Amino acid sequence: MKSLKKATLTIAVFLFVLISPAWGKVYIDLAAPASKKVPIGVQEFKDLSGAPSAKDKAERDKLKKELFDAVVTDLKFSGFFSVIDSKANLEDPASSGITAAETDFKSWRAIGADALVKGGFLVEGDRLTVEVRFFDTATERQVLGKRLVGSMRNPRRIIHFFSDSLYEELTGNKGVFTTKVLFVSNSGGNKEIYIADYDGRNSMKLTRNRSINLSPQWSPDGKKMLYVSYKKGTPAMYLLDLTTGRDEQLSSKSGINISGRFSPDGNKVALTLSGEKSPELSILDLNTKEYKKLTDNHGIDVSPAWSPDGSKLAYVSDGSGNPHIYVLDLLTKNTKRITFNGKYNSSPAWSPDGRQIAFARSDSGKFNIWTIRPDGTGLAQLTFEGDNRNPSWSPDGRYIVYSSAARGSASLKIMRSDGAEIMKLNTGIGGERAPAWSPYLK
Amino acid sequence: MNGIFVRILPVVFLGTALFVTGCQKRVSTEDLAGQADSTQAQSNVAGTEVVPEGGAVGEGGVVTAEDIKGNSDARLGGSYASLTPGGDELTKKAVEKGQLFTIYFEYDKYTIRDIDMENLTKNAKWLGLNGSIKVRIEGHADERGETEYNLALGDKRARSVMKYLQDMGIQVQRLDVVSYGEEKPAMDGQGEDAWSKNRRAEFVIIAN
Amino acid sequence: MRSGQMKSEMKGFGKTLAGSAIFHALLFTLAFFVFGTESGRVFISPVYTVDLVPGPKGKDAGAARPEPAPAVKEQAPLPEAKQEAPAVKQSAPTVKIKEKPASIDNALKAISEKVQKRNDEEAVSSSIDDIRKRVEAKKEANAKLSKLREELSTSESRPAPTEAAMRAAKPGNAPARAGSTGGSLESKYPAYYGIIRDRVQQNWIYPPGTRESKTSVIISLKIARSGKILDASVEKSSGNTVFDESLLSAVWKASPFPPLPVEFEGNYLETGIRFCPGCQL
Repeated sequence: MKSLKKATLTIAVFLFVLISPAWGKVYIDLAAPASKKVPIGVQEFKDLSGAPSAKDKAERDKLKKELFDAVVTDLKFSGFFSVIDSKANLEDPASSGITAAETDFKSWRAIGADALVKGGFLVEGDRLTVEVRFFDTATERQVLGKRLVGSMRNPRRIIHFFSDSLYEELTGNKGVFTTKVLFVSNSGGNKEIYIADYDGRNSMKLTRNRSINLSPQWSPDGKKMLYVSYKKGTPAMYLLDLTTGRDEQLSSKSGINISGRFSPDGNKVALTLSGEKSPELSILDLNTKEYKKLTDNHGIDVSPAWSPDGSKLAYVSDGSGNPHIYVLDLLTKNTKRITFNGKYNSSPAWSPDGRQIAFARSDSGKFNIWTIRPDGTGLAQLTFEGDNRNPSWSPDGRYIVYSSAARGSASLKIMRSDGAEIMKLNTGIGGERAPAWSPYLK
Repeated sequence: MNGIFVRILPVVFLGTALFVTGCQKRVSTEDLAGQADSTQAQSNVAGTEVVPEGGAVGEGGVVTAEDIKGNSDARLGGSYASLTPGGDELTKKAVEKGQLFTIYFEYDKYTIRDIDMENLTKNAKWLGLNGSIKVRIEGHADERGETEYNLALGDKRARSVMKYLQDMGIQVQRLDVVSYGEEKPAMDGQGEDAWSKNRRAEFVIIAN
Repeated sequence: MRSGQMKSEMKGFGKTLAGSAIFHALLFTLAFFVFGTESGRVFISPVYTVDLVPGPKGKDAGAARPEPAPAVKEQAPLPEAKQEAPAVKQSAPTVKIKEKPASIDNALKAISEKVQKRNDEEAVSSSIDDIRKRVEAKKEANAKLSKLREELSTSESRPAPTEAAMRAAKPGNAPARAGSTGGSLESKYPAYYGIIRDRVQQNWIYPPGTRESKTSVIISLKIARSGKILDASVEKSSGNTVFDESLLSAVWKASPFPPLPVEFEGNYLETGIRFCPGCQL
């Protein structure tokens, strides 16, 4: 009896101690740094053609830097690796090779690297061959090795190809390292449309009409861009073929032809046209060139976003008095309002898996990015400061790119779909807005 | 007793030795495989992948229709004389003379306010008197909302003004409508002072 | 007399020695059985033939395919081998450990035969320690990489928060007090939670020598609606003030935090940041 009492008391005390500190408060648990990320070393790329001539040296050094930087950017972006500062690298690239047999793995383990990337390149005129190898330093084995041939004009692209393969190797999912982002910038005095790599590099101007250009959107095959332009005086919709440069007018009805979005099957474009009563949603069939009106009311209906299966459209309407988001079922024609809070809810973007809609909401003037499920439940705030708008999902649904303005200057940022801050895109352009993340390209 | 011990000991020791060497053996097997693998892996780089030319716009930049035509300044295009507010001479004069008034709106609204009614009526009267004049009503919004929504808002404002003029007897052929959303503010900056000046419908003479 | 005494002492000593040796051997063998099974070591060798010539067959052929990442495929053979073990029992050149030999003589014979065979077949000699170390390191690395792969294949957008949420949810949620969210911060505002965590994490510099510490420190934190810190203090010390201070200063460095979530009710958010580096997360 006595021992039983003792036992119960001990258990009780034990449980009490276990439970009590946690009463009433939730703790944020910090993980040991890099406990989830694999420390990885990256070695300077090796010029496989031997020693360059004096006049080539500068160019080759620049190439080395570019390749190295692209590798580090991709590794960091994947979220799996913490890249060890190359200043700590012990192995001399000049005297070591890039294969497992020619690598002193001990020296990499010594600096704490669990994984290693090495590479080499060969320049033949405009042709650039890059060899990249990913090693497991503990087993001293190569996990992935690729040799890729590309152009000297875009060495980063070659690395991104490798990163896609590596990502797929490690996760079984497609990487987004070769995807791109469209955006608008008025840094040249007026709004023109640009394109850049997913990390903001290699930016290029796509429109040059010195007018007002807005709302770039991708076709599902990644080959065309839909956009609105005032180049002929009124807001009309155009289609730019990104592979040929051919520019075609798609919709120029009287009034506004705006907020066009390709349907997932690529055959239709949902857009807003001036209606008799109010701006209305319409669908333009790209094959028949016929318009079909979807809404007919006294409210403003804009910014349609297709669900990935093409059966629904989320859009913005001021029918309730101020802008809110609605979901229109294209089959049943039923409309359901899904936002009820905030003063201004806008730019819905459907996630690739169809489970969430990201949008921008303003409560007191500044916008933030929120997500909500298509049925209206699961409202969640993702950003908390600055003025954040125009969310656009990466094709794998892991990330969201959006425009973020603070103190007058606007830039593009990428966050994880759960709100974790990832990075700011350095395009070198400035004043960037209205981003649109491409589908998988290649 | 001793004998048994003597005989068991070697058995036991050998047995343990066996296990130990056994495990090591497996270890070395794997090791060999590992090394062999890395030599094999060497060759998996042999299959070279060619990175295709940049999908988007090649790498040489896109050539737009505008560039080819050489007529790249849209500001001079067509009957849309000006992209800057009140940039047209005729309109300037009319505004100066108090003949054409800009109509202003409340935040997120497109209904004509009572205070603007007088001005709008004056516009209608002036147009009535000058039957040959054609105007373009340009609708604008302040910069607070979203781009696409503001384009639609500007459109509603312009049309709301147009409807009023039509009701006042002005023929529809003389009225043109365009929305600029938040793209062409009359006054830059933030705060209600600037915003209130941007929520407007402007009249621009396009023919006479 | 003396020799007799010595003899008997020797005898006694011999007994103890023998007894001790047997005990140790048994323990050793037992250990191999127990730990062997846990770590996936196979006692009964699946049919690996060891060729000296590079390019071994068997399991290795699979890994030598031009397909990349032998490391990935490497994991597979180990558990598979485990399952193969009972089947392999029937095939020839293996030691039937579980079967007891009819007599000690037979056992001795079988064992010495096996040892002979092994000695014949063994080709590469490497230091035992070296190999053991490599196996350990490899296991660890493979474990890390495979853990990563596991996480990646199962997790979607909320890896860490879900784990922490499960832990946090267990003690139960207290009713919300004025200004605090009780147990709901992480489940209601996961993005905000994540941002605080990430920012403090990024600003935290470990004091040297504390990496493996198993004691935890808790900083209690009060955040105003604007994101500014109203109060931050050590709620539970780790016992090492330098360690405590390092986390506290990380919290300050990470501030001001973003404004509290719009839908959060109350004038301030009360929470705690806990860290235990040597604890499993």
